[in-house]
Amino acid sequence: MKNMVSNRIHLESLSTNELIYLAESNGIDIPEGLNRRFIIGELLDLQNDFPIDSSSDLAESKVVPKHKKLPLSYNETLITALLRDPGWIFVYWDFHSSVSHNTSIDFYFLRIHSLNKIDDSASTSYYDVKVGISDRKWYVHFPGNGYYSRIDLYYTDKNGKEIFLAKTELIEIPYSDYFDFYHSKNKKNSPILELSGITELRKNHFRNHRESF
Amino acid sequence: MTDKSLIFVLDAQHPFISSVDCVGSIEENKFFDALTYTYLPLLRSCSNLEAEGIAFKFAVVFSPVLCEMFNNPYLQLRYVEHLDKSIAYGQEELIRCAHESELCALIEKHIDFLTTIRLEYVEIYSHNILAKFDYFANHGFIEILATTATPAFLPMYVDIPESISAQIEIGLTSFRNYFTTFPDGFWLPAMGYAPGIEQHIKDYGFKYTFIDAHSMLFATPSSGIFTASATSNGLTFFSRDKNACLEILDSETGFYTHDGYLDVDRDIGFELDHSCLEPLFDSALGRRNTGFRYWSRKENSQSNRTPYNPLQAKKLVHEHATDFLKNRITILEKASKLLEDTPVHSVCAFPIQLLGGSWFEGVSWFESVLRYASSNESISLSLPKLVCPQSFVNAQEQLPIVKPLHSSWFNSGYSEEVLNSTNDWMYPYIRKTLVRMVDLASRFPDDTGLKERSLNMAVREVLLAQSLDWFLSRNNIEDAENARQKFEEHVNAFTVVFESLGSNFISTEWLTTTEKKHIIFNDINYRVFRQKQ
Repeated sequence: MKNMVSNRIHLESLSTNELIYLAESNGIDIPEGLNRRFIIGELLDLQNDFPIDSSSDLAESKVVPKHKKLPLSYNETLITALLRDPGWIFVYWDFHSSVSHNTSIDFYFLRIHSLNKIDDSASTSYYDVKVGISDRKWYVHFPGNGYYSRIDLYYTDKNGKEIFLAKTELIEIPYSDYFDFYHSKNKKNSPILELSGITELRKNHFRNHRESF
Repeated sequence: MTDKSLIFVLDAQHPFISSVDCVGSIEENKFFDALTYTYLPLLRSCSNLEAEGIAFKFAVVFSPVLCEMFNNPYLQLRYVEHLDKSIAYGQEELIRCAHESELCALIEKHIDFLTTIRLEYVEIYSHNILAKFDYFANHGFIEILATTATPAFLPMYVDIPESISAQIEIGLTSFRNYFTTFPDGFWLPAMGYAPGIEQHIKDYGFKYTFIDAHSMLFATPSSGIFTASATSNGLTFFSRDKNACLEILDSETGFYTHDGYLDVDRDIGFELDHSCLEPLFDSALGRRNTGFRYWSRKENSQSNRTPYNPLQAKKLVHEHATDFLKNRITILEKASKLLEDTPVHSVCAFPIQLLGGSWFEGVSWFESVLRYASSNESISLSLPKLVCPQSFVNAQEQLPIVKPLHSSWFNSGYSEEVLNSTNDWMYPYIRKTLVRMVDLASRFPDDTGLKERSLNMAVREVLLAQSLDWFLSRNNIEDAENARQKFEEHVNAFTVVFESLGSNFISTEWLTTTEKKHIIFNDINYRVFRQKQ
């Protein structure tokens, strides 16, 4: 029997399909529909029967991996935000099975915070966006009244209680005095900035990203 | 010598192609076309200028992926075969077009062109074109900049700092494998900048980098684009002169769109019957450019096309080169006056494949600009490292301090081209893969043997998956499926290694096959992904 170098944390980070593959590769027969908790338990039991020798090299396997579809989930509750432009943030999230199988959940929502400081306890304002049970990504609009944003993932249970699940890191939103088009359109630019093309740039920016103004 | 400088920066990138499973593919053909119409003609231009005693100057950045492909012996051999097939096909084209004297003249010209290219590649450069670029760098004609290992859009990974460090470190190691100069400058793929990236660049000893105009102009305060600025950590920033680049690149008004230039899209590869094209390529693998193109860009009906006139195109090249320089001189003279005779520069950075690719005459235009500029007293060509060398030491004390904005050189100015509904699904996978790679480097700090080999394989796959070619290709229907497959292949390959390390066994058959498919970065060290103390 092959040795395994793994622990519960590592196994829990794998998707269900990855766990099944790992188990079958180690000769563990997995009945269809078996809960992943039991698969993890089986793998850990196998490890206990065959103590880990972390100094050993990888052993040879005759099983050649086949091409697989990318997993739908990595079975972890997290939310990540990526800046697309000064007005829009792309957010994606995932759920651990303990969340996605929770029948007390009524709906999920995102809470989009605007913050002035890097200390994220000082949210100047926020708004909520309800998302679907099967949604895993969204583009959120940054309202433009701060320098940073953070997006929290919540659910509301059937009693109306809001439960926090995860939050993103702080996102620094590009900010320039020139983004306030209406207040800055009469602003006198230095000749060198005019020569550099600032006026045309501002017009294009307003045309392409007017939601960020 | 004037204090008004023109700095060209040519960005040389190409999507990675496997020498094993891309034989005869469209992707391989595009790579060969880049050699034929861009890199070899550019080297010839440089050699011509050197022979004439002209002190030309420009900067160029070669993606490490591209360097590896240039150096791949299988691709080198197949390129020569490709040229031989094209030259032989030219004779068949002469027979097919025997009744059209104008086309025959163009075909003969093209055969001569290909024959010269083959001679240069085989006899003069011995298949190693990078050595010649290195020669020009060592003789002060060009400056070669370093860049990331694969063209990753770094703003998407600023919160995974190990991934950025790994890209820079492997890129630098690759640079040292191919070039003997030391890179002072670092190129950000697609000029993708986000606050925080400057610290990584500085940590590896680079002195300057480049950002697009709006990143500098929207920063507060801003001193414009004609002089360098620095961030508080001492990294110098050059701003691209967007207006200058638009004169060349704009899809509606750029020089290359002129009627008199060759229409590079009207290629017989898309027009002739499959049976006629058999000697050139297997049409089951898809139609592609053959290089046999006979029509100008002038809009006509299919039955009434304007044949390409090389002499007229040559006149246009001269006209456009002269116009471009005149415009730069006018702008720089104004800038110099406004800044009280401070040395000023205009940075023209653009993808190298415009020259010879989208714009067949592009290399000739570039050579003309370099030639005319060198004899013009109102403007001089320069290299980034020569523009303000004293300021590189303690740049934050000598240059205006700036906090550039998150930016890119895409049309949107930000990240929309690499983050939209066609490609946003890729980010959960690539970011998870990166986090896992950092974890692996931490869990296996000193491993050797098969584990080390597997871990190095994992690094290759994650770097290749980050390539922004896959994200950009999703915007194009024809390339989207290929991009999806390549991305999934790299993520899956990484995942196989990840799972194998978790279970402590691996298929060496799979490992060997995958290594042969992705022959790149042979001296890679997975420990570059370790968390820095």
